[in-house]
Amino acid sequence: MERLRRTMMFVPGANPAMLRDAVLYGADAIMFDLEDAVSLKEKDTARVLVYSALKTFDYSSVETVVRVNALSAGGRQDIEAMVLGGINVVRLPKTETAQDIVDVDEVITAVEKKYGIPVGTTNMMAAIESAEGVLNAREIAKASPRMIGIALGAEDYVTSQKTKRYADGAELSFARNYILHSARAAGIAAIDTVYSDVDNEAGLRRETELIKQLGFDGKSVINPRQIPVINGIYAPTVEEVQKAREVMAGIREAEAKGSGVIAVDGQMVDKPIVERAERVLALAKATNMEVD
Amino acid sequence: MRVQRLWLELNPSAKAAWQTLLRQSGLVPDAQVDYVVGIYEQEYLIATGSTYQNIIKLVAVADTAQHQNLLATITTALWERLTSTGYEQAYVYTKPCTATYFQALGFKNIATTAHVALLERGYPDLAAYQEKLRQKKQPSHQAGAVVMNANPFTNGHRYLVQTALKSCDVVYVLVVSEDRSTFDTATRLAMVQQGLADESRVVVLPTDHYLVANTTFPSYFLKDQADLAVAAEQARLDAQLFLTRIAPVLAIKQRFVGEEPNSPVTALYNQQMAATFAGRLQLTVLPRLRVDSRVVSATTVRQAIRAGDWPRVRALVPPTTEQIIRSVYHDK
Amino acid sequence: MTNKQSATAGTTESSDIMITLKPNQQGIQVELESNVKKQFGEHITALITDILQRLAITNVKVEAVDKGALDCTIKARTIAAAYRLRGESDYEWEAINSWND
Repeated sequence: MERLRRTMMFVPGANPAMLRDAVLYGADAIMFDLEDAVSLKEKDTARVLVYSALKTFDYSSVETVVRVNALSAGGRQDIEAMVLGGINVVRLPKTETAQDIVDVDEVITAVEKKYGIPVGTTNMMAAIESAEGVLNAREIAKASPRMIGIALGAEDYVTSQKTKRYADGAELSFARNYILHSARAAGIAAIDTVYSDVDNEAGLRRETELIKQLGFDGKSVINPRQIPVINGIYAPTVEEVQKAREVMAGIREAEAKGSGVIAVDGQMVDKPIVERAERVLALAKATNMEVD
Repeated sequence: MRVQRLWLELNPSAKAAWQTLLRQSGLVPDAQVDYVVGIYEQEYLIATGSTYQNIIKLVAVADTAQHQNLLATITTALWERLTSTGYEQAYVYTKPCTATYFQALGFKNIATTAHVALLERGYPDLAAYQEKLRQKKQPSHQAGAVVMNANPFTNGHRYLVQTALKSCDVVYVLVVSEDRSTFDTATRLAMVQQGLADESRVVVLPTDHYLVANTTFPSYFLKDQADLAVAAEQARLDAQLFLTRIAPVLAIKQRFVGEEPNSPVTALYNQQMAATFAGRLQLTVLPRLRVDSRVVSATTVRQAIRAGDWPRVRALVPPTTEQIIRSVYHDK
Repeated sequence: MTNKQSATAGTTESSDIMITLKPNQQGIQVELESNVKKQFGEHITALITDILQRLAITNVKVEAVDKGALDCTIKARTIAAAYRLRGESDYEWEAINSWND
């Protein structure tokens, strides 16, 4: 069962209080930011602060992600400190080509070897923030076995497209769909961009409903207030949960009988239906719904 | 709470809000600022702070927002601005009742009067300056001090020091370090050192940021344009700093100043010193040296230089100073 | 980069600590300002001193303004200030990581 990634919350790497509290807000993943949220002259302090936090706080209930700087701008040091700290996922921002991923993969491998960590322990994801990156999304998604997801970074992307963000999201339509297809073809997660107007809950709802409908795993989040909204939209309905439970019960029954064909309510249950049922139950569990 | 830059020149509504907030906090919106930041809640400006060079000033938080730690947020933003522009020290000029908030942010108090407190943060700091003084300290029974800008060093300055030497066994000559005068800091220091090289009981030292400086006494450099009420407050602060932080380190018991008939700001400084020292340190005001019945002052020397009247310059300054002046003007 | 005379790391925001290192004639001298000084002053001072010693910084005056920082933050800020003082940006992660054991 793949993990849920409905909400991936940005935590500025230079802020001790947020590093301490990040785990409390109910995000599926927390993304420590060493890149844009950290001013140039605080890169050194943020790196050691996040390292120290990783070594101290219990983040086991969430997936830990770090947004590192480009390799040419301190990224190597970021990766060494974060891999050593036991980060789950290294997220490369502004990914343009598959080669960018290969380069970071090599650095991670070197660090894992240096410290006797099994090679492959650290996962990767890529943020795609330009036209070039979008068009290469397919190759990027498959560039390394470490890859677990690709994400759209819309702020830079819309600028590179000579537009801005609009309420209906039409400007992101191609990028979202292409990134989503690339992720699904590679069997990895697709994460949507942040919704930056933190005071506009209605807008956040509208956008989340859209990307859920498209098939995204979830969204990046910049304010803890957004987490329950998004997680709530991803929560399945009682009927969906009921149906999923029946599907799973049908499977268990068929397995016990040694029957090859599974039917629930007279309908054939095939692999996609099982997968969807599993995902519904996982989402239900994550929203504290009764499933067993 | 996001700190944003207030572009006073570009944004009239921000400027109006800024002025209102300052006035409500009992502060005078002062045009001498390089960089201004603010925090808005909805459309209301609820906190602000500014820098001028490396001085943090005009920090105010609206009454309605006092419970939040906005002062810290503002100060941190200003400190970051200063360090990113290359400053390693910052000073805060504030009301004594607010000083404790800044102390909680890592600032150290360096002088306080009834109305003003001056705090600093960074390095080199006052402790480092005091250490520098300590290393030049001479054993003494009755140490005296003369603080001078020496712009340029004249026979009048020399006379003041020599008179001090009659009643003191060691005289510390503190030369203003702030670079806001006709002759630059290094030149003025050299003039004093060379002009007093024959006096073995004289020790020449810089004042750094701690006497007659942009931090302690900025009005001093404005002379005629200075607001005298503001200048009096600053002069008190400067005198307080000398009395409590500098004199004890060098065991200075007496300070000598020249009588001031011409400059109101300097006359005010002398008055404030007398009031501040009040028996704890002796202040001796000496009449000015006269040549041809005219008072010798740095101002008259500068006038003579401007007029190209070299015989007059020669009559007013020691040969060492004349040589330096000639080399400066020759280079130009 | 070369050694600096003084270096600072950290902020005075809540849950942080600001560590400033300045020259000192002899030994490590910690000046702590903290709301919890009574209860944790000795602990914080010892923690800072320990980190500095591990990084072979011997003569330094430390001005620490604590805003309720946890140990991991105090450690991180001290390490960062020490490296800034030494003017080095490449951390010895292997050594730092071994202190956790």
